[in-house]
Amino acid sequence: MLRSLGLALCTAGLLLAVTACGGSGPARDGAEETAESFYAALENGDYARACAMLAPATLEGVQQSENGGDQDCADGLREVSLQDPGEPLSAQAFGRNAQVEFGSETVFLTLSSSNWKVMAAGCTARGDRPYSCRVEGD
Amino acid sequence: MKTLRDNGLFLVFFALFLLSLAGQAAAGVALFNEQQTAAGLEKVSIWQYLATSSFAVDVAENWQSEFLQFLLLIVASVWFVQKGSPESKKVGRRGLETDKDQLLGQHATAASPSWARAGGWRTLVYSNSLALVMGTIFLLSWLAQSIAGFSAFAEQQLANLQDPGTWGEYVLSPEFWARTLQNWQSEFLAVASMVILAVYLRQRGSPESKPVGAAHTETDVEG
Repeated sequence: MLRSLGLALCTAGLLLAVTACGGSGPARDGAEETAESFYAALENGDYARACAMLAPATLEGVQQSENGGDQDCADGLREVSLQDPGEPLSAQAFGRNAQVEFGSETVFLTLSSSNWKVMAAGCTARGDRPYSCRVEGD
Repeated sequence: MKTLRDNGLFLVFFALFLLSLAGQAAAGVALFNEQQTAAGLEKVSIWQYLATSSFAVDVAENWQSEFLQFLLLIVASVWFVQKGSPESKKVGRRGLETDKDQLLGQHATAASPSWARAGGWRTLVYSNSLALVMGTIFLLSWLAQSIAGFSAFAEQQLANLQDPGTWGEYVLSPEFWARTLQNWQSEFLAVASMVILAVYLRQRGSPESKPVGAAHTETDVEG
């Protein structure tokens, strides 16, 4: 009985340890690759590919024009006109969300159907407040 | 059948633990998905939720406070007494007590555990084994709470388009200490309540209570 309890407690402890850790390497690398691909698509004028990399809520946000009407995603991204920020400086992933920092701006990503999608891009810091982003959801 | 009877108290509470853990997972995934939907993010299945830091921190923060409660009660009740409470020793027996009271040394019997009879460091460790194990589980689950809590907090920060911070910043943060202290206050209140209520109230047949007819001033007697 005591041995079984010990085994159960150890298993529970191991499970807690596994789920407790975040910022995992492979997840972080995947997020970094997606962020780089997003900017590469924009640089090449491949707006359809860039739109496919947006998270659903972000896609909806881009499809909302400034005057509140609907617009094509490609037109929305063209209008924002994000520039290539260069090489990523750092990346972090926790659970289903990630952040990739470039020199001049930051990208936030989220997992959607096991793929990294861009949640917000062209983001600049505002101290303790949420980042101000040029591409984001509603 | 005899095994079930002889281990009934543990089995009942372990079953209640498993059932309530399952219930916590069901309620937790529903809440998590409400928050995901509100943030325009993808929902998760219950199996995905069980692997999240959000679930881990909710489990760990409760475990650490329970084991801290037991650790402090076990240790404090060596030296602190409550006259009239079945949770307390008699006033005159405060402290580590004699070897005769504790069945150690020449007073150990053939039925005493081997490390109680062994003497030396083995008896010293065994004499403190309950506090050592409770304390270790408390520290490990508090550490797990801090790691899982940081990961869950960081994930939420990113969903809000904010920086995740570091583990070092998190263990000094209001989020970590609010989670920790909200659990501690309830544990200490529960022990204080049990200690004092059992002086004046009774539950027939329970070893957590004095006999129904026992005087309020009688200490350390079981029902």
